[in-house]
Amino acid sequence: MDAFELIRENAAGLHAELVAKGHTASRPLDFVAAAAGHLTLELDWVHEGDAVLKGARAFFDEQSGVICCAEVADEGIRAGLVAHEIGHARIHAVSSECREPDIDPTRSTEAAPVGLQRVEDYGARERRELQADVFAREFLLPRSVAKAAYLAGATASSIACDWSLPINLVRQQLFDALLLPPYIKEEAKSYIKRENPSQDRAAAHRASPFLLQAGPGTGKTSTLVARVLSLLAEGVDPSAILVLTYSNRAAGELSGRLTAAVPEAAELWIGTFHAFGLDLIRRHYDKLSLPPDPALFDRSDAIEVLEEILPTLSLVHYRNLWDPAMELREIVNAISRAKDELVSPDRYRELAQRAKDNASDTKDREDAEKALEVAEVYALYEKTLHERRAVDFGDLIMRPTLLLESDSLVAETVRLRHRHVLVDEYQDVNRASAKLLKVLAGDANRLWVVGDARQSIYRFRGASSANMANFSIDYPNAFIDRLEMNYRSTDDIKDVFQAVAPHMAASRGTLPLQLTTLAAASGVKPTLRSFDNLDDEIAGIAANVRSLEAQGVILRDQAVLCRTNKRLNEIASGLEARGIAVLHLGSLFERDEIRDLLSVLALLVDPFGSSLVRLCANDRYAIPLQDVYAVLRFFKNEPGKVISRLPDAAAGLSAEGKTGIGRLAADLKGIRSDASAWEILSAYLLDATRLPANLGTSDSVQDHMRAVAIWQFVNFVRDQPHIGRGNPIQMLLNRARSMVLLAEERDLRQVPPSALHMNAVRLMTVHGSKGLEFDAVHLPGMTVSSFPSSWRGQRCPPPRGLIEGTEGRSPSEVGKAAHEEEEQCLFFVALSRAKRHLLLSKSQTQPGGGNRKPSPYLEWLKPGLIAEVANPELMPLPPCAPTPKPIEVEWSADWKLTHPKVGQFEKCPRRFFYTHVLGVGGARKQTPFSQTHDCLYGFMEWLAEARLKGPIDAAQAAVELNRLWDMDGPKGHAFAADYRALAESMMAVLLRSVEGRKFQAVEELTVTLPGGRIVVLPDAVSVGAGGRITLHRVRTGSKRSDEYDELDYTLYHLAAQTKYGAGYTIEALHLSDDLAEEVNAARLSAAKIATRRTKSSDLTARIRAGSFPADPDPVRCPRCPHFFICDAVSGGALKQS
Amino acid sequence: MTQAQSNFPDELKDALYAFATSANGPTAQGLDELTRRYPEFASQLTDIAVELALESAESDAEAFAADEATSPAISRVMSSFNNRLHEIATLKQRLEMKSASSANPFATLSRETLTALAARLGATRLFVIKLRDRVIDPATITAGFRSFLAECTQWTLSEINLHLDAVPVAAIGVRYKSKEKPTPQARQTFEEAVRSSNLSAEQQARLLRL
Repeated sequence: MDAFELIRENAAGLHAELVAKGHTASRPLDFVAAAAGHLTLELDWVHEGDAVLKGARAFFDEQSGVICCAEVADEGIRAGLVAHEIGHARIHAVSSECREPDIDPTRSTEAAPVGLQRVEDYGARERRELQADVFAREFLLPRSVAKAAYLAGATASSIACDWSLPINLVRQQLFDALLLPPYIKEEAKSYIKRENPSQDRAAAHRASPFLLQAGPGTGKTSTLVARVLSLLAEGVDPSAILVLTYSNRAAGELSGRLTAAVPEAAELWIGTFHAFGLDLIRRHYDKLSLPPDPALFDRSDAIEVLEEILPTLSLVHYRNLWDPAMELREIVNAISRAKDELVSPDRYRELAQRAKDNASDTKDREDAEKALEVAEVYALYEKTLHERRAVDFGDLIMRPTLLLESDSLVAETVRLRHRHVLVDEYQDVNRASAKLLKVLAGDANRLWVVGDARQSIYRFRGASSANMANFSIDYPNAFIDRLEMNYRSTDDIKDVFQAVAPHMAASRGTLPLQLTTLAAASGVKPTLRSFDNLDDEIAGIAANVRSLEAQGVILRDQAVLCRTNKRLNEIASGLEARGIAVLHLGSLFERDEIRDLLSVLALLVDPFGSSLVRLCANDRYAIPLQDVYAVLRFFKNEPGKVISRLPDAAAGLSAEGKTGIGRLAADLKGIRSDASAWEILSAYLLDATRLPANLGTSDSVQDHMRAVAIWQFVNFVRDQPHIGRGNPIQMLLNRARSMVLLAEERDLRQVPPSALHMNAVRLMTVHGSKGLEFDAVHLPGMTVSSFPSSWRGQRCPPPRGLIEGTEGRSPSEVGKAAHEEEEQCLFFVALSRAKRHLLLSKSQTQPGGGNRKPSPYLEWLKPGLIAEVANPELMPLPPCAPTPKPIEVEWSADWKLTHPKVGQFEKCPRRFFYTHVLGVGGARKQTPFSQTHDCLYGFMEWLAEARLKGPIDAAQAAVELNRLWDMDGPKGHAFAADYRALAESMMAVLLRSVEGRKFQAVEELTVTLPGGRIVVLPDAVSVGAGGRITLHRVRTGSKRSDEYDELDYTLYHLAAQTKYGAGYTIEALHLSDDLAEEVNAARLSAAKIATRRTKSSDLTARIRAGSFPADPDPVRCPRCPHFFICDAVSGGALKQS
Repeated sequence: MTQAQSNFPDELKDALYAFATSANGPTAQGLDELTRRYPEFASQLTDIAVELALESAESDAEAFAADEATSPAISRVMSSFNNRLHEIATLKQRLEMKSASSANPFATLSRETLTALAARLGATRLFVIKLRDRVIDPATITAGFRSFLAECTQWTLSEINLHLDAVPVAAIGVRYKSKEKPTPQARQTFEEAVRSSNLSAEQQARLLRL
């Protein structure tokens, strides 16, 4: 049973006992006093600051049985203090001193596993405080009571009022009660203690460093638990035991398991390396020149601070002026990688310079130059962190490690406190953590680590299975052993993954995998199914799911494991369309119900009300598309406070539209703009729409998943970092985008533990399946480009020598080898999750129709290990499955399809629809560079006029730039001078480009294609000798490798051919490169032009037919202005006006 | 009422002394062995070991800094040797003090005996906590109350005085909080302690009269 459920059961039980004795729970102060009396505890109130409190707000004294609390003003908060201490008394039975940050009964049971929350709150003490908070909430207002009151018609506010409890406590309790599936108590499994000498040996090992190689399903965690229990049984001080885990969830589970066995295990320090690193930093902050509680930077914070500075650096390889975040995404990864290897900026530069000096070819030289640029950004980044007295994730390991390595006294005191060190998942430890461990372990005679090099699947986070192979080098007197009994899989399945092991690079330096299983051969061979195409593969998985279900394998015991989230989403949709329930959150910020909530928040900060597009499409409001068009035009003309002006915007709408807007306005009424995002959403969900009640009482698994997603989202919204400036709502919206862009939201895809018992097929990536097991595993994508995935190279190759143990090899060799090794490990992990059924599948063709080769890994499986299934069964889509419908648009007479619009449609038809058909604006995030860019565009407009009148006077141009700069430039910014220099350099390139040329007015050119007509508007047109026309295309960025494949250049050509016949030239000007070149046949062949002509025609026809599907892309989408509204659209036709 | 135990057991003190004076200084291995033998004192022993490690480093650094200025290497060695002799001579005394300040006669009381003591004192358990944790400024505690406390506890007056006059301690059982550096403990006067312990007017008057 989940540890929190036990606590809640305890709290609700006490509540019920007191109610049965006649105490009134709606008078919380009397109720807690009654509880104290019932438990024979003395309850004392003292003034805040009383010496007996020793700075705390409340304490429980176990020896005397006293609960003492500060007499704060609010009655509900006071009751919360007592309830929290009663929690300590009931569940921990040790004394506690709780300061202000320790007590918050509104806290969620599980912090959102992103950003700072990933490392905070997971020491033994923090875990106890959270448990006491959860106890307090459940004791004061049990979920069942809250839910019953709410479903009877009460609101969160009325419950808070009636029960004299803090509103946020009630809200959190209602979220838990309504959004999370009710906990179903499972029959306790009866474990039969089996003889396992390898586990016993490992648990009993003493007096030398110990590495346990634990293959899949061999009882690694049980052995670790047995080891800890044996130490405690020997009288080892529990607080001297340090257990380092890979994830917070693993730490929580381990702690729960240990404390259930031995209560004093609550004193163990169990947590991740990062959480422990943070603890060391807080203990020794003065030695690190940091404040006691330094600010923590996550990747988005790092990018935000660097974003403004990057354009001012004289970078060549990472010069992306328009969107520095794209480059920084990779650079910040490279910096993090450097910290994983304990490499400082100076050392990074030194390595890069050495690599450049020794470069033997162009590629090596380019890689080294890139590394030098990264070193420059790294140095700047460290300077910024230092100025802000902050640390980032990498620092949480690097800084304590360097401190302990350089200060033997600190190291000694840490070693004295943590005398027994155990590490779980040692294969996922990075080099910095391994070094921290080395100094922490001292003589290492009490060091015990467990892992499986073959399951090392976090190389991209710096994990290095080399630590496993190097253990006996790092610890010369080490003892290495392995577990030999697999408890999970049938013999047939074990034979499959064991056959893979010898082929894996990760097996080097490890003991051979030789497992035995409990079961004899099951008679159910793992299978491989081949399908004609990817859609059939989904239909085949659906058929297999149902077939296994008929054989008694219920849905929740089946899992589909994929390499990519994209494929996972496709399979999830395919299964749902066939009526199969799936447990799959996917990307949280891209789910409809979450985007609805993000759109509510966006209304508070967007004066144009763009997010109304999504809200109007919601069934609750059901506002027709034509009315949405009218409302958007209203706010486009009169931007301002959208929520309060909704009634004005409703004038002139249809009756349906008026009703819908009226309802929306009522739902949003009373939202204070200064409230936190969590408060706004709580009020909207619980008091206005009562959506959680509908979802919580639904029978549909899909509705339950929606509810879980909302719970996850409000949980995420609740704790936002305080780094950065600006409107908190806007910062939250920016953070959501940034997390998707940086793939930092992936941890939010984890389903909360309480939802795991829902009877639905589990869908997850292979990465996400680590540590889990299922009766049946469906493993699609057994093709060459999917398993293994293709190696895409490195945008920021580390300098040669940065990664320990790779000296002598080039960065690309090292990167590629690491990628291959990880892919092999992923295959191994995927196969070994299955207990009884393992179903592999592959598609024989790609989406484009070409053939797909089988995965090379299949060759490792000897004939007989896997049964190939001929003519596999398919489950077709039901006739009622939803299909995309076109949007009926009546175009206005003056609407033109221009060449940039076609380009945008090509990238994403839905974005095209929102921007160019519906006229949705989007407030762009203003950065110093975007301001500089605006000035430059203003200058280009001026230049377009000025050059028609003759040669440009440089002084006059400078005056114009000055004027624009005063109006729109980033004046006052710390790097304003750098941005100004940038603008001037681009202006100079522009001025040079017009020298000696004669320009003429730009006129519309047209291209008529079978699919429709396209208008081409060149950036400039000049006339050369003999009247030859040149069409100029100006780009501010650098030329890309596939630059001339863009449709624009083809459309320039087609339009020019129509207008000028053969007498024209197309010239491209790339301002960032100071490069002007002719786009001639060598750069854009006639064949390519013909292909793109056909494509342009097809796109035009699709636009006219009203086909505007979204084309999701992990990089483009989070930067799209319509990210939060996509792909909602109201019903009905649209007539443009 | 049990007799107060104002110090660590002698056997533990000897072991602690041996541990502190071992050739390699306090080691994790040594501390581990010590805490296994005396698990009930594990927390205090760890704190003492850490303090010893810090003190030992400080004295080494001071000796080194003093010698550095005035004498060549040989004098540093001699001085260091003398320091070590002095350290050993005073270590036993310091350990006595440490263990005395770490031990607390109230610590061994069960909840029932502590409750009974509160009743005998005519006070709340909270008031006993204040006595136990030395929250009350000893200068303000009257002799009359000290005698009364000795009478109620059946400890000697000197044991009572030794306890009340020592430096404040963290609450019993509250572990070292790694996040925070220790800060000086605030105290209150005897009268404030009496007034803020949820005692009836009568109880307050009685205690203040002592």
